[in-house]
Amino acid sequence: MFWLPRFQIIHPTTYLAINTLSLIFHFSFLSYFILRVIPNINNWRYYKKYHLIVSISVALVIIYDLNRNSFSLSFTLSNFILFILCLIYFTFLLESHSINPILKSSIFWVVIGIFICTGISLPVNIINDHILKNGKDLISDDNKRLMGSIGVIPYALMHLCFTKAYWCDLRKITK
Amino acid sequence: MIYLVIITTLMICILTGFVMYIVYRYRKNQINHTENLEQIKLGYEKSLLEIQLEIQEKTLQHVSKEIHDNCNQKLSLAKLHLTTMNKNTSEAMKVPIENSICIISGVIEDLSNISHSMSSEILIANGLLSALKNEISQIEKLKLFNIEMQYVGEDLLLETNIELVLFRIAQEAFHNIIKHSRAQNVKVTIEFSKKEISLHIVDDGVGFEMNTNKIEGIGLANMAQRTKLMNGNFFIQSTPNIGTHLISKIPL
Repeated sequence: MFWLPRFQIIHPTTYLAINTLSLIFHFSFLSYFILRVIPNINNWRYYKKYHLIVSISVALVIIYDLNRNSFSLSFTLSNFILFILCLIYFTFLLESHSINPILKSSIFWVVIGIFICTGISLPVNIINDHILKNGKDLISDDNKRLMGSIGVIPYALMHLCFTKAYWCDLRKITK
Repeated sequence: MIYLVIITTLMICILTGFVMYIVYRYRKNQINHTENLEQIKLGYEKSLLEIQLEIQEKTLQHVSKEIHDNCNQKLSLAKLHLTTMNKNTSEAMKVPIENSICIISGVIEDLSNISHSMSSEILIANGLLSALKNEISQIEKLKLFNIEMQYVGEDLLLETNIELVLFRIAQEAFHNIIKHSRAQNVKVTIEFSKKEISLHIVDDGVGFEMNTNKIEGIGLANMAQRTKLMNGNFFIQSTPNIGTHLISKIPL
């Protein structure tokens, strides 16, 4: 969302605060969701503690980021943790002996959405940051818009998967 | 900038591929798991069936023994008493006593036949062919239909379990023919080969519709279960007013 300060729609501090709050909500809600839906999780207490530690770490990184008027590090870290949680979900899913059709599971589609979104956002965000730090002035407006559009793609894909998940649930209800 | 586009496209492809791999692995696991469940279920059903048939067999043996050792002995004793009474009684009473002796003798013979039919002793001692011949000779006495038996191939020494299963299937089939078929001719064929033994029972009775529920009640399920227990195949073909052909094939 680096183009926002350029258009001066909102004050950079407000913009940072909104982004940080949405990041906290995004991370805590989605990570809790994934932890809750992991199939046959044996040591729930252990994962709860792990989640607490990770949340504190993310909070500390956010504070650190706020001090330097940025949220790139906390964004990358929270995305990375969500990505790892998705991988944990997949590992448990393959170990589970479920006979339900996986493509009809709404939970699976939600996790797929999070996985694709975080998986694409991670490198895209790192590259965007790198480009903006090293050659912000050299980038044309068209390219900045292109970078912005690419940054939106993972979220579009995630919401597509969420729609599919909703569709699966809707079919179950109508059946 | 072009790298950003390439990396994004590449990431989309890699992650989509990964998701597809997860789905593929899940489905593979699902198939394996379903197969395992099926095998466990089959094993459980087989052991259940084995126990069921064992209990059935033991009950038959017990009833057979009881008929032979208890009922027949008591009837023989009653017959002996009547015979003794007959010697010392008046002429007027002799006829009814002799009639009673005749009836008791008939009952003893009938019970003896039932006892032999239930018992597997003949089968164990003399083999399947002898046991079937004995069973057929008992049925012939009823004079309900013509029954002939033939065997193809060499009379092999079979496992007792296989012989017992085939014998009980034949008995059940004979019972059905007597009770339902109104057949004129019945043909029993046993085919021995190196790989399997087949029992064919063909009658020219009234037959039945294959897709009716009636067939469930005439012991066919029992016959099929017995064959399945020996890893064999059970077939039945029936046409109304033409007859029924029953086949039980058991691998050796």
